Amino acid sequence: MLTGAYAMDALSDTERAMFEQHLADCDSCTAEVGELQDTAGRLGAAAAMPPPASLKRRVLATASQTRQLPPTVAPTTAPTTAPTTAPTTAPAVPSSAGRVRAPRWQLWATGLAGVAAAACLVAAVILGVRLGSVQRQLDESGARAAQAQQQLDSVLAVLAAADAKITTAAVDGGTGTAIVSQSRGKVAFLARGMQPLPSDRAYQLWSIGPAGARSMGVLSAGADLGPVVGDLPAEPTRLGVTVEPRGGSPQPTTNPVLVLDLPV
Amino acid sequence: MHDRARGDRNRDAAPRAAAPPPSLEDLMVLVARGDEAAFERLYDQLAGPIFGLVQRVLRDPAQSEEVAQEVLVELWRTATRYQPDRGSVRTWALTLAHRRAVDRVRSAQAAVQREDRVAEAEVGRPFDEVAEEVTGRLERDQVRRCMGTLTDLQRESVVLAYYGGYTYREVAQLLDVPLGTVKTRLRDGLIRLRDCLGVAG
Repeated sequence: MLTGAYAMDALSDTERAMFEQHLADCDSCTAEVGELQDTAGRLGAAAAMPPPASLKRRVLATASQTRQLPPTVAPTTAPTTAPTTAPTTAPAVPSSAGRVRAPRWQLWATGLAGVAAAACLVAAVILGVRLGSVQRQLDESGARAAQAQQQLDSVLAVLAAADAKITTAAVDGGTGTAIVSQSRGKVAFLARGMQPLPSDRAYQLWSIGPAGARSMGVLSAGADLGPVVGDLPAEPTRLGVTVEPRGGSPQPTTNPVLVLDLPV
Repeated sequence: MHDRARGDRNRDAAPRAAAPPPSLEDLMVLVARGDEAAFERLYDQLAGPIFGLVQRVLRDPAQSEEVAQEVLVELWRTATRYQPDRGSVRTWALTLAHRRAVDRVRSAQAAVQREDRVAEAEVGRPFDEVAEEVTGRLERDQVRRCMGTLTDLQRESVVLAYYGGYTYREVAQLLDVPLGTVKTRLRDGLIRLRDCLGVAG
């Protein structure tokens, strides 16, 4: 049992990340870790020392110039079943806006060939779901909405490229999706159903090529990642997602939890 | 913070001084709403334990101050994310402080100093050196007493891992015992401490 070593930060970074993944599925371990961290805290408190007076001044001054994180609000889970069935059962779905949607879906679906059509439908569904949540964000907050809209626009720009190619990979309980456009030199990435991480960890996205891994940004610690859009490096072969400390790492420090081979 | 300075003297003399001081959890609610005066009170209660723990691990006073400041500002910044059902504010704060201290120890920058510290054999003097003037003396006495209930190997493992900031692999190396033994001793040791210290602070 690594609970004791974990509670005392006596694991290496890799072991720590792996153990935290295990913790997510193990309620009894989580309870024990909580108690042992509490005990470790008692050891910590026993080492109390009066700090230098200057520390207080600096901490209070820095705090007053530091913006606090927004609280986490309960996740609004987008319905995944309804949009998935929408294209095939479109005629049966009542359109609240009174528009006739079915013929348009059918025309569009028949107008596109085979795999490409399927891929686009998948993307459209994913984006539709994302659009739903983006819309909710719009309603919630002006500032966040502007950002979300920008995000969505940049993803749509990649998707709209004539040479857009899509690839997906399953990850424990979820999926990761990448959309690549060579002509635009962009790659969009999103993932859903990831294991939520502790607050001091975050997922980080990497483009991995012959020259090594390059960060494409630190993502959230939650179940849904992205969408994010990044430049397509000269010779990328794959995207990888690793678990890193909250602020991200210059290079991956753990094995990827998700790897996507990019289409050529 | 600035608003508060004016009224302080009068406030101390007021009858409300008889009311019990707000708990850290109560203060945290206010801090999460951006209340700087509440944060100052939180600082007064937590800065000693945080600074003491960080310095215990890092030794270097300047680095310790830097890390303690980072931790305290982090408490302010992430106050909105504190979840009472996942542990007390003190545990949350000290878990963060310990982790940051350990991260600092393990960063490449500190690697050289670390080599020297291995030779220091700090196992022999776990508690005696803790400054006497510090508040929370009861806590310290109790921890010292409970440390006495551990086996030598449990105590040495816990002290090296927690106060020394070593990984369990390093502890195994230092004590010349198998990895599995250290893992077990760390857990058994903490469980015995937990039972000895009891739930109430």
